[in-house]
Amino acid sequence: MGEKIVDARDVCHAYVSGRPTLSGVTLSVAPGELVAVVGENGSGKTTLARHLNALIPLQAGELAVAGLDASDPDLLWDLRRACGMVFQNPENQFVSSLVGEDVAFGPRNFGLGQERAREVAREALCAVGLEGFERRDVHALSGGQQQRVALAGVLASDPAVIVLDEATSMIDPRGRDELVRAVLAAREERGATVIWITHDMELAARADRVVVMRAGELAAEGRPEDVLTDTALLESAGLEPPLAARVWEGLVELGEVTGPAPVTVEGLVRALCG
Amino acid sequence: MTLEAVGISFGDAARGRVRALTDVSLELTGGVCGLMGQTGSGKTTLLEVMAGVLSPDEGRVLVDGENAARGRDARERAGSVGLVFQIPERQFFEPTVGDEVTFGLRARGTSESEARERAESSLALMGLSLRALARRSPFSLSGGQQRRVALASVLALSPALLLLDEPTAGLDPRARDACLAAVRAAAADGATVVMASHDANALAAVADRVVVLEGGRVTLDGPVRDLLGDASLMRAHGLEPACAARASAALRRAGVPVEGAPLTAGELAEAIARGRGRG
Repeated sequence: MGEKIVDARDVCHAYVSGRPTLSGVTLSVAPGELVAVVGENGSGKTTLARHLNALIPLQAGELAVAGLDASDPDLLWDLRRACGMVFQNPENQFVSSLVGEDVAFGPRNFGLGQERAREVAREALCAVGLEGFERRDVHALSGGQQQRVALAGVLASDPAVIVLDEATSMIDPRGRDELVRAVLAAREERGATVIWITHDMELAARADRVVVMRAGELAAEGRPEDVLTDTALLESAGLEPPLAARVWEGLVELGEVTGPAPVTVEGLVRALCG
Repeated sequence: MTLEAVGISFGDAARGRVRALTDVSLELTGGVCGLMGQTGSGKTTLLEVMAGVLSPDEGRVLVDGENAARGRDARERAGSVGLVFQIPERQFFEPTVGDEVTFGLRARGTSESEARERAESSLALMGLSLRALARRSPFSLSGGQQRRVALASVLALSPALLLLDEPTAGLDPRARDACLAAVRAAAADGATVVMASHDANALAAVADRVVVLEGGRVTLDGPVRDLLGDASLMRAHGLEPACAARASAALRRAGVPVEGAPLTAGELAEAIARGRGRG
């Protein structure tokens, strides 16, 4: 791999309770890449994500995000600015009840004047399809809209990397689709790198690369069509292949088809029509 | 069992009144009834007024003809109705998981040893160990563990009416399967289960029937396959069909014959194979 926007080497972490949550994770991400991180609850996904945003201090190993060394306390704020996070529960991440103020909070903290911060917030809200929402109460919005406000708050700081930690699991399917579209658009327009932590294998199938976490270790990584069709690997990590791969497996067992399994519905349609 | 929620409103003329449920009347005959609807359609309100944890300022809530919202009836029914909240932290109040899961049983007068035994088995159903978690604070657990502890603490009471609000949200596949198996087991033991969920695949796996709420009213009510297996019907109501139904619709559009209304990957593979056999 050439340029690396995320460069984690041998990162280890244990919470006070003792058991290691990360045991030597090495992961490189290229600028602009969309990486899905999958794994069962407790496999270390969230701990890894929190490291990327410097929410927890590095205990062992090396980590650089956008060239910023996570072990250097002087770079903490720069690193947090370079890597924005959208969390699982939208209500837990708002700092203001007004949409405009919440989105402008990041830029204000990073030193922009009030007017400029407002302008940046307005642009970020446009980017996520929430134009004119500045005066709305965040708590009166739907879950999908709240997550897009959270994403706008991240975009307002113009991060190089956007990390989404189970950001779609608490919102309805319509909200999920809205958020996915907004993230993909941000990636397209701003060239942002996206690290998407998810249990949604249909979503993971759309990534450039899938990383499988298992018991604090990086168990596998590769293209979705390779990783998400490896039933034994996924089973060992407490996961299951996406629907298209499971349907294909059923068709192979019935003697209807042969060849590599598709991982998306579009791929399944192509494989059966081709 | 009959559930009826009519004219449910919150607030008053001065603060502003919000009508949450207009008219929801359901006749439940055991099994698992899935409750779908977009955010704001009234699913959570329906479950919470049925459980008596939310009292409307106006309207009528009846469970088997008795007032579920207020007073003595609600207290008497408390032991027979179990509600698992959408956000599990909302229902925890004990300092340890052990106390949390046995609380309802102890309050009911169950002996310490039996309460412990039932807590152990209901946690085991959810893939958790009482021994490992007994002294942990429920607030220190991961989101997925909290959800399973919340479900286990309600299952331990074997309620006649089990109300679940998005029980699979945020669970990984293994925990989700354990949760769905526990829901099916509760229904097989005779509980009437109402499960609100956006997860069409989870409902396809456990529900016998699906009710759709829109704007506080029932707009669809039918067997799970008739609803979740029909991608265009679900989309017309702003909802997501089961993944297999979505794939079936895409395959049919591309000219691949798919028979019936498959709800799972296995059913879809068989439906494709049958279609190819006829082709």
